[in-house]
Amino acid sequence: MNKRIIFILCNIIFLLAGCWDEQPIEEHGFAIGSSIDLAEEKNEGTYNVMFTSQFVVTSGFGTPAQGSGGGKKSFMNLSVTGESIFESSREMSTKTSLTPFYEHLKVIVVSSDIAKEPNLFSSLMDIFLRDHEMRRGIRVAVTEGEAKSLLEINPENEKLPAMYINEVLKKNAKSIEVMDPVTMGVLQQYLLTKSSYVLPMLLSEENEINSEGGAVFHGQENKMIGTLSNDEMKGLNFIKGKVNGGIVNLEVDGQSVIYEIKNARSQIKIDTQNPNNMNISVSIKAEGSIGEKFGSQSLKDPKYQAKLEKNVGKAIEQLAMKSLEKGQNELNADIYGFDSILKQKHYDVWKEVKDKWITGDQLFTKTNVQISAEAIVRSIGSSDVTHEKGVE
Amino acid sequence: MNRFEYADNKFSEIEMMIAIPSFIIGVGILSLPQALASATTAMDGVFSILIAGGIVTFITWAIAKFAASFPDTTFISYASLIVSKPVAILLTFLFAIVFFSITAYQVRKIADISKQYLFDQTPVEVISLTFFLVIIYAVSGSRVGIIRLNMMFFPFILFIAIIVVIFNLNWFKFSNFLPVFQSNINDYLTGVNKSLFSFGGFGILWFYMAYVNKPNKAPKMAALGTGFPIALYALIFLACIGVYGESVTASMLYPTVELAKMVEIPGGILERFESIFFVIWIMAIFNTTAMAFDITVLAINLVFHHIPKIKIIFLLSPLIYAIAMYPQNLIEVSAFETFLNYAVFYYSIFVLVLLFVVAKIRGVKPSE
Repeated sequence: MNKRIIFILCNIIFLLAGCWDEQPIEEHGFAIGSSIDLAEEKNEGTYNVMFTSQFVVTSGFGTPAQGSGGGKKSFMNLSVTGESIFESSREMSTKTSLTPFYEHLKVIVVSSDIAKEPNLFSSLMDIFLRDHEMRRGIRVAVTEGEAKSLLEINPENEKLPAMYINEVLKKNAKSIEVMDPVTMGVLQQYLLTKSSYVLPMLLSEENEINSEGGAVFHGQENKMIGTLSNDEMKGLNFIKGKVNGGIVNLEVDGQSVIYEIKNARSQIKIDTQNPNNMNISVSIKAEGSIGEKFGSQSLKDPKYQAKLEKNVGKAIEQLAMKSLEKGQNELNADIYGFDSILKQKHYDVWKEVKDKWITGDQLFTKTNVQISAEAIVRSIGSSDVTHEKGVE
Repeated sequence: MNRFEYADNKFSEIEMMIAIPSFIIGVGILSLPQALASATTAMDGVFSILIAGGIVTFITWAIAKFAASFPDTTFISYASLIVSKPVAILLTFLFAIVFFSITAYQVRKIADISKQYLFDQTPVEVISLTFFLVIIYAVSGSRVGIIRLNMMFFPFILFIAIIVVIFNLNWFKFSNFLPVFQSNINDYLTGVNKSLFSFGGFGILWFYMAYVNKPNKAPKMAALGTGFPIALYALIFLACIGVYGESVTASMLYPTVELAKMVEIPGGILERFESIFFVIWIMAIFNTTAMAFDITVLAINLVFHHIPKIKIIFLLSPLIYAIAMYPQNLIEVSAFETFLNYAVFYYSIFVLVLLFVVAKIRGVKPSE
C-alpha cells in the first residue's frame, strides 16, 4: 500500500510541476487602448506603422487610504514601429517588464493617414479579429493627425486617457452629431459585405477630446474617402433612424428655437419597379420637446405649435438632404445602408444589381431619394414664456 | 482501493433521455453556425436545423423502438439472432471502431479549442493527455456512473448556453435575420446535411438500450431527449446570426465561443465570461467523450467477453491518444471530422435498415 502511494505521488510530480501558461497577474500589462499611426511608406503598398499601446500602471492608482497615488502617472504608453502589429506588440514586450495582455482592450484610435491608404486599414484590423485575446466589443475611432497624441492627453476627471476616450465614444450615442460607437464585430461585418461605413472622428484639444463628425470609408475602394461634418452626421443619423437624443436648431418667425429630440425613427421604402432607376422614400418621424426658445411667443398657441412642428420637420429634411447630397453625389458611398435594405427586403433585385450598385453603372448615384420628415413637440418644458414682449 | 458500487446497474428512462442530448452536445455546436451560415442565406439555416432535427428524432425513435423489442438483450445477441453470429461480430466490431474514432476526435478537438482560447503556451499533446486521463478514469468506473454524471452536468450546460444567448440580446440586430426563405433547395439540403451530422447521437442507443429498466418507455424518452439539442442549436444559431450577421458568422471558426466572448456582465464585474463558458462546455465534451469511449469498450467486451474491461481500456487508450495526435493541422482534423460524421451517421442507419429488413424477411421474433 505504501509503495503504491509513493508511486502515485511520484507521478503527480510530473503532472503538476509544469504550467506552461502560468502568468502571475502582477506581471500582466493590461492594455486598455491602442493607436495606430503611419510611420512611413516604404514602397508601393508596404508601410511602416507605429503601434502604440496604453498600459495601466496599477501602482499609479494608489490605495484609497493614500488618496490619489502620490502624483504617479497611472498609465504608460509604449510605441513600436514595424510592418505588422503582431510583430510590434511582441517587440513591445521586450521593452517593458510586463507582458502585454489585450483581453481588456477597450478602444483603438487610427490616424486618418492610415485610413486613407487603400486596404491598409482593413489589413491592420486583422489581428484584432484574429487574435484570441481580442474581443469584438473593442470600439474603433479615427482621428485627424497623430493618433498617439490622443492617448497622451491628461483628462481632468479620468486617470486613464483610453478610458476617457471610451467614455466619450459611449456617451456620444446620446447625441446626433456623432456615430453610434462602432465595435470591431460590426466593423468586420462592414468589411466582409464591402459596405461603406462611417467611423466616429475624434479630435484632441489639449486636455479634452472632441467628437467631430465622422470618417467615411468606401466599401469597394476599402479606404477612407472623406469626412462628414456635424450637420451631415445629423442628417445621416436621421436617415438611418438611429437617434436617441440631440438637438436641432431652427428659426420660427426669426427667433431661434432649440428642438430637443427624444427619439427619431425612419422608414425606408425602396421601389424596385425599375431596377435601373429606383425610387427610395425615407420618412422620418421625430419626437421631442422644446429645449430653449428665444422671443415671447406663447407655445400654447396651437397655430404656433403647428408652425413650429412644420419648421422642425423642414429643418430635419434639410439636414438629411444635405447629408444625402454628399454621400450620393460627392463621395459615391452608400453609408445609409440602402444596400442592406435592398438585400434584406428585395433579395431578387439585389442579386441583379449587386455589382452595379456602386461600381459599374453606379445605380446608387442614380436613385431618386425622397425625404419627408414629421416632428411632434411632446412637451414645452416647465415654463411657457420667459419674458413678455418688450416695448419696441 | 474500493470502488463505489451502485445498487442497480440499470438506467431509468429519464437517464436515457438525458444521455442522448449529453452525447449530441459537444464540439459540434461550436462550429455549426459557421457551416450553416456559409451554406444558407441569413436565418434560413434555422430551417435546416429543424428539418435535420425532425429526421434525427425519427431515426432515434426507430432505433430505440427496434432495440426495445429485444429487452435486456445486448446488441450482439439480438444481432446474432437476426443476421447470424459472424455478421453480428463484424457489425459490433465496426461500431467499436466508429466510437473509438469519435473518442480520438473529441480528445483532439477539445485540445485544439482550449489551446486557441485558454492555453496559449501549453502543447496540444499535454492538454489532450490531461483531458484523456480523466476520461480513462471515468470509463474504468461503472457505466451507470457515467450516465448519472450526465444527469448532473446537463442542467449546467443548458443554463450556460441560455445565459450566453440572453446576455447577447443586447447586441441583436433583427435586420440581420432578413431576407427569409431566399436560399434555394440545394442550400437548404447542404444545411440539413451539415446539421444532421451534428445531431448524430443515436448510435449510443444500440448499446445502452440493453441497460434501460423500462425499455417500452425508452423510445419516446429518447426522441424527447433529441428535442433539447435541436432547440438549443436553433437558438444558438439564431443568436449568432442576430449578433454577427451572416457574413461574419460564416468567417469565424467557432462562432459559439465568440458569442460567449461578447458577453459583458454590466458593471464590469466579469469581462471574460468565456472562461466560465469553457469550464461548463468542457463538461459537455467530457460527457460525449466518456460515453464514446465507454461504448468502444462495451462493444469490444461484447465480442471478447473473457477479457476484463480494465485491460481493454489500457490497451485502447494509447492507441486512441496516438490517433488523436496524428493530424497535423486544422485542415486534417476537419477532414477526419467529415469522414467520421459520415461514418457514424450512415453506419447507424445502415445497421438499422439491415437488421430491420432481415428480421422481417426471416421472421425473427423477440423471445418473450
